[in-house]
Amino acid sequence: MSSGKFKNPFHKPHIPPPSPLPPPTQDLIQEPQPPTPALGPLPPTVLTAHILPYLSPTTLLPLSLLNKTWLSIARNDSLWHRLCVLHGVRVGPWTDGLQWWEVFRIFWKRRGNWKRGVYGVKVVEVVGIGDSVNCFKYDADVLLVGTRRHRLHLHHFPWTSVPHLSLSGHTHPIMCLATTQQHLLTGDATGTMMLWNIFTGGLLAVVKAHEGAVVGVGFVSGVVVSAGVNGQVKTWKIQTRVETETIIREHQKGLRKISKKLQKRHVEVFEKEIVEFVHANHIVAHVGDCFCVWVGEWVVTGGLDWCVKTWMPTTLAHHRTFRGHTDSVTCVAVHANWVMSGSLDKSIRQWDLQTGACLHTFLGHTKWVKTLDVSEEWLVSGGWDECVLVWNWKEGKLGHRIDVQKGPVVALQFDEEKIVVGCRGEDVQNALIVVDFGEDKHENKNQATS
Amino acid sequence: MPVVLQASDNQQFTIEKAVAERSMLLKNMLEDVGEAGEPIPLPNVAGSILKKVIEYCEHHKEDPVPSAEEDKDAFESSRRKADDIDEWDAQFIKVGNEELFEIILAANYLDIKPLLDLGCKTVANMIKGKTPEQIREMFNIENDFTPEEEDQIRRENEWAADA
Repeated sequence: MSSGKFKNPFHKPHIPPPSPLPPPTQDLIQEPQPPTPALGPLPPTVLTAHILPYLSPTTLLPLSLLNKTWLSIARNDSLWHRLCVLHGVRVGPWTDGLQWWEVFRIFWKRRGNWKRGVYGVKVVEVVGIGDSVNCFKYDADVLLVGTRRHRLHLHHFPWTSVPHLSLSGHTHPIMCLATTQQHLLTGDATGTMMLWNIFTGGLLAVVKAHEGAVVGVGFVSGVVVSAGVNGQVKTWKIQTRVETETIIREHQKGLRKISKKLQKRHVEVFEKEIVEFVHANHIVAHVGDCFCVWVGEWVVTGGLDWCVKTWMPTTLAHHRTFRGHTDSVTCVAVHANWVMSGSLDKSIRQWDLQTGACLHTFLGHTKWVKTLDVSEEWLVSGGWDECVLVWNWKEGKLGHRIDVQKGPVVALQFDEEKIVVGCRGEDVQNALIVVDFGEDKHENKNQATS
Repeated sequence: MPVVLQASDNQQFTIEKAVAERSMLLKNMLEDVGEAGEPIPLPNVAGSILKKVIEYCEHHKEDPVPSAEEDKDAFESSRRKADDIDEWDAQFIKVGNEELFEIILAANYLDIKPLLDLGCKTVANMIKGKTPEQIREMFNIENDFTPEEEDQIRRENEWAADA
C-alpha cells in the first residue's frame, strides 16, 4: 500500500511570509554597519529590491565576500525567501529559527546530495525487539508504525523506540495505514479496519471490512476507501450519531430506612457520540487477489491478474485498465498524471493516467518489487533484492542503487531529506533505516553505486 | 502644454507633458498642481543625468504605460530575466559606472520603472560570472574583512559549488 505523500494534507508545502528578521547568528553581522558604500552612491535597498533579484543563487552568494556591507546585502532575508519560493522549498521543523539564506543552503546541499548519491545511513529502532514493522507513514510532525504483532505506534520527532502514543485495538498484524489531519485509518490481516483519533489515540470505529487481509486504505473527499486481498474495493462513509443513555441511580439504602420521603431517584442523561463506518460502494477490482491500492484523485489498484486499474474515487466506476506487466502487480503510486506500478516481474512501469499508455519500463531490480514512492523529481523503489533504487524517472534513468542488504525491503517513503525504509532483516525488522541526504553528513558518508 | 524641469545645478529643460509623464513622480505632481507652468525643481538630479533621463523618456514616450500592479511583486513574476534588453536601450545604457549609478538613482527617484529596470539589469549582467575580486575591482569596492572573516564566509558559501 502506498498513497502519494504529496497528496497528504499533512504535508505543508506552504511557505509562510517572511518573519521579522531573527537575531543574526553571525558575529560578523552583529557588528554595526560600517559606512562602507555598497555600490557607488546606490543605497542597499535599491540593490536588494531591484538588482539582486536578477541573480541566481550561485551568483548571489559570492557577493557576500565583497565587504561587510555586501555580506548583509547578499544574505538579505527577502531575497532568499523569494528564491526558496521559486525553487519550491518546503518548510518544516528543520527550518525553524533559520534565516532564509540558510534554509536555501540546506535545500541546495540536499538537492546536490540526491543528485550525486551522497548519503548517510542510520538505523532507528521504532518497535520492540522481536516485533517487525509492517507499514509506516510519516510527515513533518508524526511517524505512525503498524507492526506484525499488531502494535500501532505514534512517534514524534526525533524518532525513538519509545512511542509518544501506543494505540491498542488490533489483534492481528497491521497491514496498512493512512492519515488525515484528524484521523488515522488502519487495516489488519483479518480484514478489520479501524478509525482512530490521531491526537488522543482513541479508537473511534471498527468494522470488519474484508474477508482476508486489508491491503490498503485511504481517505478521499470525505470517503474511506479500503481494498481487500480478495480483490474487493469498498468505499465507506464515516457517520457520527448521538445516542442518549439514561442512567438511574438510587440513593443509598441507609437513607431509605430513615425516611421514605428522603428516598429520591436520581436520573442522569448522557449524550454519547457514536462513530460508525457505513458501507457505501463495493466492486470486485481484480480477478483473484488485489495486492495494492493508491487512494487520491483516483483510486488505483494492482493485482494477481497482472493489471493496474483506475477507478473513480467515490463511485468506484471503472476508468482504465493498464496491461503490460507479466506478473502480479504489487505496488502502485501516483504523481500528477502518472501512475507508477511495481511487479513480481521485477519491473516498474510508468503509465499515463489519462490515456493508459505505458510510457516507460524501469528495469534494474533483480528480484520482485515490493514498494515504491514517487515525487516530482524521483522515483524510489525497493524489493526482495534488498536494494533501494533511486530513479530519475523523468529521464527514465536509474540514478543510484542503494545496497541496503538488510533483508527484503517491505515499505518505504521519502521526502526531500531522506528515504525511510522498512526491511525484513532479522536484526533490523523492528527498526526503520533512514537514508539521509541532509547536509553535513561527513561521517559515515556513502557514495551510491550508479 | 510643455513642462519645465530644473536640475540640481539649475539647468532647465523644457519637455512635452507626454515625455514628463513617463515618470510616475512627475505625472502625479502634474495632476496635483495642474497647469502651473512653473519650473519643477529636481534637487536630487544633476543636469547631465536629467538630460540622459529625458533622452530615454523621449524615445519611449509612445510605449504603453506599465500598469502599477504589474511586476510590482517579485514573487509573482517568476524568474526575472536580465538578458532581454532591446538594442536602443543597450546602446543608451553604455555609460561609465558612475553615470550608470546616477541614472539608476534618478530613475528610482523619478519613479521610471522601465529605466530603473534597464539600469539594474545592466548592473546585474556586469556582476554575473565574475569573481569577488573582479567585482571589487570593477566597482571599486574596498574589502574590509580580515583574512579570518573572509575565510569563514568562504566556508559558509561552499555549498553553492554543489548541484
